[in-house]
Amino acid sequence: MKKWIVSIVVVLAVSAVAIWSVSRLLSVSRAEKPQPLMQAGAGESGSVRPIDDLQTRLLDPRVDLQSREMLMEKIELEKRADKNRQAGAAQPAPKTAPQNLVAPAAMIPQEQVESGIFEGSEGMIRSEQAEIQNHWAGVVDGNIVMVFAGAKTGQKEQGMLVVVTASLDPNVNDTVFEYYYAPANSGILRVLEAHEGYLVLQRANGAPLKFDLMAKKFIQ
Amino acid sequence: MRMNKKDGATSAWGISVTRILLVGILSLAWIFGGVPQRPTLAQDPPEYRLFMPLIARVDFQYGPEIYTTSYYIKTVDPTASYNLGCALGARDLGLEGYQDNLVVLDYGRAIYAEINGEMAYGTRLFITAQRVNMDQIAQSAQKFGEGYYMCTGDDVYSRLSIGIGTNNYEYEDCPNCSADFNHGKAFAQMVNQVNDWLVAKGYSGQVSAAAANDIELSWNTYERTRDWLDGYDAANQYRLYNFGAIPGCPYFASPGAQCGSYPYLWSKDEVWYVIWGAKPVYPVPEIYTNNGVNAQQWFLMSVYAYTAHGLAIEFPGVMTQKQSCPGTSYPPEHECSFMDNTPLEGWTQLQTLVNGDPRTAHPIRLVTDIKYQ
Repeated sequence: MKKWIVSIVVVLAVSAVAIWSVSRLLSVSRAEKPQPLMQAGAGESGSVRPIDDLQTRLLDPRVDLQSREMLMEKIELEKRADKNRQAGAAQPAPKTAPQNLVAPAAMIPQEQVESGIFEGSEGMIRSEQAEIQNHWAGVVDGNIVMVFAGAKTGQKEQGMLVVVTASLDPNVNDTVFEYYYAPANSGILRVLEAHEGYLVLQRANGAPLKFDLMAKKFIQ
Repeated sequence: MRMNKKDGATSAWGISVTRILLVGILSLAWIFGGVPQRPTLAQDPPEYRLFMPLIARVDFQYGPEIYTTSYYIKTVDPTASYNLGCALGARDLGLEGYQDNLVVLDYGRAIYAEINGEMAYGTRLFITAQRVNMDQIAQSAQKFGEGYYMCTGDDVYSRLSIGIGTNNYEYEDCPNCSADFNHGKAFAQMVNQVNDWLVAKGYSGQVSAAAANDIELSWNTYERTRDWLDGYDAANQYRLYNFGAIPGCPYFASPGAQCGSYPYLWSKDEVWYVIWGAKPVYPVPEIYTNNGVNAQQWFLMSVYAYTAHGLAIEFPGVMTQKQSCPGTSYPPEHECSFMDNTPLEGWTQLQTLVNGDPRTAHPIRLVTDIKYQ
């Protein structure tokens, strides 16, 4: 019996030491854990390297003067972003969403869509794909439609249209790109006129060609 | 040798006591350490998570599995902007750990035109072609940030950098194109104001703003593009992400290739300047091509930066456009037939090349995938 009392006492003592060690470990861990938003030089979201690393790179003798000046400004920008982040972390706003914004967005008013014939591609069609002359934009059957006219890149004899269709509903992501080749030997195309339901295109030789906006096909 | 009955009973009792004590010790450790959970109030610093029997360190998550969606913007409607930001915030709230995000909101090409009844700097949005001024752009970006902040709820550490975007596209005889010094300066002032607003509202612990520019070599001259960058640099307080492409530049099969395309031909040093050499610029390159050519071009430009200027390029992240290509097959003329890298593929292509060379090695952290709003 006496042996068991000793055993229990020993086990309890070991347990006490274990509990003390765990709690100590936890407190040390908490004290040493860096605040994620306060990490020295962590930079703004999207930062590539801690500020300390950027500063270290300044010491590299291979870095030329231009890059050195550039690095110094980049470091200043990181410091400012860090300062903002610390200010926000120190006094964060309560997380109560503005009620007027918690709803589906309204449909884009049709009058906000700028309709007409415009030069160029607005950067929406890559030059590797097509050489675009101009485009028409408007609303067809409740959807925004853009028709880019030109030719296949590197093949000016092959006229083509790129038709982009998107919803007026900003809650829907449904932009579609479609490609239509003109009849043979049309050459590069250009949008000449827009009529109800169809576009008049101009071929390379000046001859007209129609494109039906609803059926999305060329009309001879 | 047989164990007697008394010894067996004693041994079993001892094992039971030991088990009870062990359970007690572990329970106490669990109580001391707290239950793994997010903080209950946004303002409270969160407890560190304890996963018995190990103490886990909470790090930011990023990389190709935690990619964001960037947008070609078609409307600056505040609710639409708020909802897009909220969707990302809700995602982060639902994910374990804390996320580090970059989102580019591309508001279209730079213009100086009559906007809302007065001449102003602004942009022409995608799809709708609506002309919007700097205030409208700022408000849209702010609402996106506010939506993110609110919808992260009790996740107070995940964070977002919003790249407020435009591009360097212009065309001949364009009546309202304005990719120039004054537009760049106005854009920088707008980005500064957005950050001031984020600080004043108490959102800046999680949300920050930067500029972004889709600088494409085939869209403009170096001189004109640099003019805009110099304007930005004249007033900026925050970084600028170049999320463009460098078509024509050298790749492995064509190491002597000429950057750009007629009529816009660029030297390598001119390319270097707009992707890394300009003071505020960090590149987030479009790594779209399935054959790896985009990644090769940016890697070789980083090698050039190292050999010509002593400092390799730092890539904060990469951009892909997989969500713009939802289908599985496309006709050969469709860009999705050869430019639909997934975020993982795009990131892997550049990360592998950059880190396969000690001159350019560094981890690439962020991935964003762009699509039309």
